[in-house]
Amino acid sequence: MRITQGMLNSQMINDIQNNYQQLSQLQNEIATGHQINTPADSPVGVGMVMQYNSQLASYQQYQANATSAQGWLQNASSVMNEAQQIMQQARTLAVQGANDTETQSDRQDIATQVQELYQELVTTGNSQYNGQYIFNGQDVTNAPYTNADAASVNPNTGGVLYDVGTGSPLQVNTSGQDFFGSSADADNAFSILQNLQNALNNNDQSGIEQAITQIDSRSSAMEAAQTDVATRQDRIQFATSRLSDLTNNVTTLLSNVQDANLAQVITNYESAQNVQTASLEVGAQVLVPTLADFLK
Amino acid sequence: MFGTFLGLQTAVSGLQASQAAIDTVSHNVANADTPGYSRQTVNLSATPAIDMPGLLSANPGQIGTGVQVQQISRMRSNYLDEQYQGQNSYSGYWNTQQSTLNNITAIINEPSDTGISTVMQNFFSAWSSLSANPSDLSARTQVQQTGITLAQTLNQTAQQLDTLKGDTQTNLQDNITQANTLVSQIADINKQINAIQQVGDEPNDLLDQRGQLLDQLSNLANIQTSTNGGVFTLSIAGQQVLQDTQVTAELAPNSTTPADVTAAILTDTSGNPILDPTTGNPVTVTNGVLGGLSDSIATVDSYNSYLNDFANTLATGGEHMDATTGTMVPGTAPVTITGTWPIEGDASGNTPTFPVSGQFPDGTQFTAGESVTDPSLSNENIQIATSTTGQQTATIPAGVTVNVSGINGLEELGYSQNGQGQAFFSTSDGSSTITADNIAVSISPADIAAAFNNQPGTNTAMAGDGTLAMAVSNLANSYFSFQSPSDVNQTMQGTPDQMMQSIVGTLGVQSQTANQQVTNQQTLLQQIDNQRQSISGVSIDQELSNMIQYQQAYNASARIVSTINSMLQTVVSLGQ
Repeated sequence: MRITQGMLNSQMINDIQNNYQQLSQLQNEIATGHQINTPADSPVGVGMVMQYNSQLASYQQYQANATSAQGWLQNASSVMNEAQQIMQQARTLAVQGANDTETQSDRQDIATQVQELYQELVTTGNSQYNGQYIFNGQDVTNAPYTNADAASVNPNTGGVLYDVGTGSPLQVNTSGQDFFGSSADADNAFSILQNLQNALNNNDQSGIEQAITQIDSRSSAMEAAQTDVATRQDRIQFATSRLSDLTNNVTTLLSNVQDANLAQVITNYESAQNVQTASLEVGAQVLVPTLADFLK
Repeated sequence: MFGTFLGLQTAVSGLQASQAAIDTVSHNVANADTPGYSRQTVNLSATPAIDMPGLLSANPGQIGTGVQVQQISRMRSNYLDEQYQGQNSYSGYWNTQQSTLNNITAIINEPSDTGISTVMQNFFSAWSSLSANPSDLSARTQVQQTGITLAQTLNQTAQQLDTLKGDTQTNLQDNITQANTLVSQIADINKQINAIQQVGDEPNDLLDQRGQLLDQLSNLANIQTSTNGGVFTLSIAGQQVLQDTQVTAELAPNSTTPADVTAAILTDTSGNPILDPTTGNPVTVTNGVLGGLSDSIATVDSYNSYLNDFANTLATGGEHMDATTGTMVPGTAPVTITGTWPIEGDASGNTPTFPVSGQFPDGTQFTAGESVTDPSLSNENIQIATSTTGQQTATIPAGVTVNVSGINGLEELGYSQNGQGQAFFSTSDGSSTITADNIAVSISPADIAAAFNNQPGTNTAMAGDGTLAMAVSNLANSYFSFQSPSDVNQTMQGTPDQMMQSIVGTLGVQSQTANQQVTNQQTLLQQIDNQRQSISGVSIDQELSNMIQYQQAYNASARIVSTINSMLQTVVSLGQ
């Protein structure tokens, strides 16, 4: 084949252009750390990258929901502790009041203390977390109890649900009906305290003793409700650690698909750079001489 | 007996031939870098000899009379020219496609932290946040704001695609004009070529110029050339556009309205489209830059159509081809209601009916408009309460799956702080069909429905009920019916994420193909051009060695002149 200067020239321009394209591609991979920067880099890989990113975003949101649910449950658990302490104090007072040696005026003094406990219990029943009444089911913006009607109302029983990615949503709230008892229950915490107060005021010893039995019955119901909260906390704990496992796994998968193998890319870059330098040097030498340079 | 001066004349013909050859070398060297130039060579031949017949002659045979320049011809291969022009059309086509797809890739901007899929994830995450804090105003505002961001991202993407389409259409018009200019330039050159050929000369440089113009034109469209009986004809897309010096057809856009232009067609000299005899449709240019641009317009349109379908389906379920009936039907997506679902009867005390179709966890189906007391639902534990005014409310237990028409259809099933749920997405231009161009969020945060359950007897939501918000966030994992990116008339099932993935995946495959084709065509063109250069290119070394050769020949001829001169002087001095 006959070769002319023009052919050498255009061949060299093409080759150098190809080298630059390769350098640019490798440089982009190094700069971003990703081997997939546009859909054309890997049409299949790009779908996987998007899929993994979307999974990570949902895990992140589930984590946020789980943290928020954990907060609610911790708050509910400590509120429940308080309520149980109030019931225990009421029981101590009731036991004291049931004592044969107490006079009527002693019992009336105790009744005043029981009334304070009652008010405290109503306040506990109206506890809020993040501005939401925790014992009023889904009706979180309204207080469930008042001092006047606490024994006769039935709070909403709707579930406050959190999606923590476990398939079924997790209910975080416990209705006041389950914890303090419904208005129909004989051991409704508020009516127990009211009855105890009345019995103390009326010097009604059998009424006081009945209250002690009911306090015990309610306390065990409260205990059960609190255990239920603890179980749910465990569930969230489990969901959280599962989510962090999943996040780790998917991050690894994402990295496998998306990330450039830097050692390899940098090596390739170095070698592409060498080729480029060599081709420029050779080009500079090859293109100059013609017969004209040697004719005297 | 020869003429006394024959030797002188022979030497002069040698001088003239060497002169012509040196001039040609000079022309070649001067044009060494001229695009499209073919090297020229001088064809020399001996001039007719003087016959010296006669048996008695002392000098039998023939005596040479010198040299003549027979022709100055160019070194060119028509076969390689045709090869080059054919491949150049493909090269133009794929370069155009590649550039358009690169633009679309930049507009779609995936994978990135700001693309539609990330913005959509934020949107669904905001709904999930709202489901956990349905009474929280900031969670509501978050849903509204991420919704606005999603709508605006779709708007911007669609607008950029519209702009790209407009630019491509302008580009097509410009290239049509350029192609027509090239054809008329070729017609002009043909006139000059004819004039020179009529006097029997070879118009080398004009032929090179014509070849150069044909190379340019072949980048714009698929062309064929032929020369029959000295008449040159040029065809574009199989349609003759030039015969000798006469332009017989012109290129034109297929619509006079710039926004409707989708292809370059051929028109006759009076401007009427030339129709393909078999299909009856106008002949369109399918290759070269013109073909690439018209396919690019279709490509941009298809991405616009996917995005419109995506926006419409996400918001309202969209409308899609039913594979079995072949008709367009409204699309729905199934979503599970995680809490209880109250359905209110009307004020006249009629039994409530299901607003949408769906199914119970045990698989029992219900359809829109079906009464909740339908005997087929007797095992489903549906509670019916009657208010003091006689209005009935059915409570459907948790876990039913309902088929909703996108986010808007789902939102309308529930309640907000202000009343019955309303459409989340609306249009910015008042149109009833949501597209990527006009999708908007104009709902106020308090009107966003997060609850299925209402406060008994009112139209306002239970503040702590986030089950509707949860259902919306679960739509991210629900299967919608989408237009398939590989075929607009096909429907494909997938989550919104998967829909975006398939759009981006399709873009990736198309870009990859275009990139590969561009690389292939470049290599191929380079190869063919090398072969052409091998034949037609000027080699400085070759020219210079020719120069030395002809210079020596010239010197030798001159030497002969001076030798004959001194011989003649000798003869003349004899007479003195």
